Amino acid sequence: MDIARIATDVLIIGSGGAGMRAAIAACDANAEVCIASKGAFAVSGATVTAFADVCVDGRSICEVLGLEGDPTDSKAQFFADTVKGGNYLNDQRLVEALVEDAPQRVREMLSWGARVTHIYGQPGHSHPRGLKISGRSFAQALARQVKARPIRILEHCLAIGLAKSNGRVAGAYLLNLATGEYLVVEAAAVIIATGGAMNIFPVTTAPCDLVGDGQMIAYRAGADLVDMEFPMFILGCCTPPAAAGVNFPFALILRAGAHLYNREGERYMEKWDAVRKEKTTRDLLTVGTTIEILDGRGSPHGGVWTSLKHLPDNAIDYFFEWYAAWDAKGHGKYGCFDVADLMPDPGRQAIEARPSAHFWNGGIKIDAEGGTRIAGLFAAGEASGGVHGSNRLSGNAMTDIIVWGCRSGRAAAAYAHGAGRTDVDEQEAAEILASVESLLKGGRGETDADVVETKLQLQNLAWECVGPVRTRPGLERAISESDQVLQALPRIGCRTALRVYNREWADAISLRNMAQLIKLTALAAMAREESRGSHYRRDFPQPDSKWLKNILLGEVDGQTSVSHTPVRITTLTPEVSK
Amino acid sequence: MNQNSSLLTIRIRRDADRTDAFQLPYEPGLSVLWALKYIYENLDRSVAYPLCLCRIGKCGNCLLRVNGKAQLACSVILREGDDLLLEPLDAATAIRDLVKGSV
Repeated sequence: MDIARIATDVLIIGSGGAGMRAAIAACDANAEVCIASKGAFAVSGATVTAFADVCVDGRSICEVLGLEGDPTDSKAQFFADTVKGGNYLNDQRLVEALVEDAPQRVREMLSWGARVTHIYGQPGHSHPRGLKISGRSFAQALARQVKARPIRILEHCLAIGLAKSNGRVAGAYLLNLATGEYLVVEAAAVIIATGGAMNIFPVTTAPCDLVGDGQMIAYRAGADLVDMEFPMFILGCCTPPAAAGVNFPFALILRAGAHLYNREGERYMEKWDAVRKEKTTRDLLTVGTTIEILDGRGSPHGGVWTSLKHLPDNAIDYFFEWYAAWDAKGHGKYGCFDVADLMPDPGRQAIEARPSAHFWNGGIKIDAEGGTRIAGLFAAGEASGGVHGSNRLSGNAMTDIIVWGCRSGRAAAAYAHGAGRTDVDEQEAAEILASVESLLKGGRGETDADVVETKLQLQNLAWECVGPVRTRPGLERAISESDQVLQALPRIGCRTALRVYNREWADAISLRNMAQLIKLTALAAMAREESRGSHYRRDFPQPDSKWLKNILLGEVDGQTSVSHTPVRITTLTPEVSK
Repeated sequence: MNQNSSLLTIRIRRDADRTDAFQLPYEPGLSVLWALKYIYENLDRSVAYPLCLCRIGKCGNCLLRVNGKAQLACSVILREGDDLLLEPLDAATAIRDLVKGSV
């Protein structure tokens, strides 16, 4: 077993927008900085893939950015919309920081070369606040700044555990996929910026890398998780395979007025929202659709039908014409795809769609500076929780990553300067590396579970039991089946024992994270006996004001503790209807 | 979509003197990236292609050579009867199989 060692003041895990912004902030605060990326630098994570609107209040769009915003908007209104959108579960200290820092952070992004193509209004926002910047332009602007600084970049490094000694962070353990070597990074502070965990589900709009590595290593090191019962879904294609998770159906609903039908030809959204129907909130659209699918009224590939056939042919043709110009992709294109290559004429035939995991509202519980319960451990962006409550408004994800990238980077540098490094606990290092090493062994007998089959089994379990629609028996099943996988882990081995870039080994490592994450999500969803935001319980279909609290998950002596805490309110008191 | 009687051939350049051929069932709407996933899951666990992938043509991590031409694996849609050779973008710097090395 080859083990390399390096030392730094601040280690950042994840090289998406939050991680890159954190690296810049920590470096500018005179810390020595290392950034570890599971894939290639600056093109891994969700930022580069974002359709990307970044929110700033309209008044600041005019006054701070010098662009055409709505001067009647205010930070207070942006704050109120975000908290209402989150159904009052947001930590309001964090929302205050979000709206306060947004203008300055975006101004920096523009000075670094990010380009705004237009400004538009989004659902849930009372004023137009969405500055459209392509994910690529956003990520490249940050990457140029990182590369212009003395920041060490570690590519193809998968985080397998946090190093802790004397109750604080001592660094992290990484597996360098490109060499098969372990890397012990001794660091005074660590920032987790690994994004969401949408790949515990079978169909997602998110990149394959987002599978909850960061949340789970933080949880195992003793950090609290908050609002984990709130993964969010939007409609994506369920077939053909090349387009799985592509959000074309959602675009057709929003922009072309597509209708949704179950296999009985019923326009089922009429049952959920008689007025807005398919143009209802994303949450209701997801719940209504999921129930059709789970109850066996779906389409052949496990979705529902998305149709434009109620529109005249020339209106459909014109939609594709103007949408192509608006989206700047070219006629008949959606993203990188030629629609005609992938599906029958979407004007005349229905497209099969299903809810696809899109974002995780909850995550590692942070304070306003990105700090966690563990001294020296910080989190930023989608891996953290508390900013968005039970439902994130469109555009707030990109604002979140630059606000907490910057805040956590500064705070981690300050912590590192004050506390310095502490020695890694060699026994802990040996145990964590040995547990990962043991997964590499070849097939060891007939009882061995298969890595890929187990992964697919977990993804299916996640969809059926902790997906958009939950029931108590389903959640109990999620807990017991994920527990079975956790217990079977010592008997799971790779079929191939190659060390260099072994995909099966990486999948085997993620099984523990996936199973643990499903179990934790189920525990939080079971505790919350109501429906709110992106959490829907069939057995408790209404919101209940007694659940205006946040559910916390933590590990105490190897046991999971589920507790709740009153919502942190600064200025906006919940409207209690019940 | 159950036209599984026809097959695709995907050949992967593993190193300078080794190319492995795989046969896959064809249905409409498959991409080269889907084929790599199918091969990894069902035929050969040792095939290496990147872990971090957006699947929608934005990240560029799946850039490789398809019959000699540099293309994104997620964006190349397979046709019935295809016989494709997949090679790393630059064999000299590839980490293994189809995974690009650091620049």
